[in-house]
Amino acid sequence: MIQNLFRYKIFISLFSLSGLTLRPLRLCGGQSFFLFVAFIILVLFPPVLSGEENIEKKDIPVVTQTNNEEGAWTGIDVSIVGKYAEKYGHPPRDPYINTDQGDLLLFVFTVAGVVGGFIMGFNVRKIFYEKE
Amino acid sequence: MHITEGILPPKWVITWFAVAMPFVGIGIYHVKRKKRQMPVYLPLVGTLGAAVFVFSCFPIPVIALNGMATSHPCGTGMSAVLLGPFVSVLVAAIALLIQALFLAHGGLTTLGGNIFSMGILGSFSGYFAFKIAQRCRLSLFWCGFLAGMVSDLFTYLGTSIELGLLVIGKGGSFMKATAEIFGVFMMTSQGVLCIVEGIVVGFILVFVYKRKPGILLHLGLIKDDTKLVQI
Repeated sequence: MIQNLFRYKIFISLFSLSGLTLRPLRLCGGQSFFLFVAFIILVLFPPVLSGEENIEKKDIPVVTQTNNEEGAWTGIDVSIVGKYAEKYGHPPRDPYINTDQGDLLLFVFTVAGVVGGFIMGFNVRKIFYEKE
Repeated sequence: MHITEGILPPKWVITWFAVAMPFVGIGIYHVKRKKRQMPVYLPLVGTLGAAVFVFSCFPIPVIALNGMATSHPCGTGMSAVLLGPFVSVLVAAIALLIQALFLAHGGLTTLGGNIFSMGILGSFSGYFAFKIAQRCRLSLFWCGFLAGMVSDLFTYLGTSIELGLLVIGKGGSFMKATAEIFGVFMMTSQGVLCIVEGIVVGFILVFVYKRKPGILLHLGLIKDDTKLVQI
């Protein structure tokens, strides 16, 4: 947990720093976006890729979240696509970057929602409400 | 509709990528060309890109024949009408890539297949449904409704085809497998959800028409005799 907080602090510091240091470079929107994605992958995801979280908690019983959970909120991507793929001999595997670990997925969805909402709101205002 | 990582064997991974990439390339070319012709085109691409991203990972619970299931709309019908089908494929590809990278939704090896179903089939079917509805002189709302509904149906038909193709060489019938999977999609959630998506797209088009009809005029979706608003 402390390691996670530390990691997020590093990420936020680097991201803020990048805003200050990269500004004089006058990067275009696309380049800034790729730098942002690179930061996320480099800082946030290496522990996920290496599976560090699971190694740390080996001796503690953990309630794992799996894609095979059946329930009222099971998506048809899992219950139908997964079921038929398994039936035809091609069962799904875990994603290469598995964010379905603890609160990480919630964190990523929140970030995605905030960024997506901002882009939509900003552009809707620009298109429909701002005068020429 | 997202096909999860590992489901598609290598030959289909390569095939679907080969099918999808030309459409994505043409989409990039169309964006570059249209942004010079229409100043608000890039903000429109940004808005609809974000909308497709949100639509396609937004689980909506639907009470269906076998209990409650969740599914999501696609949004490519709406983007195809407002941006054109090729740009809509590009927007869908970016949304699917981000979902595969960060949201454990879909997959990197199945990206080509997902672009084919949601991007290509969803966009082109929605676009042509809209055009046919316009030829039939339906109102803007009903044109949008048909575009949204048909694009949703074709997206799930595409997924059914991709899964149905897995039985080839294993003694199964492709047509039977595809029909079975598509039928299950429709009975569980998508039969209801495609109607919901159609209604949403219809209302969005009516909103755009009321707020800035100039956008629809520039895109060639309405005729010249409607009032022109500066965009």
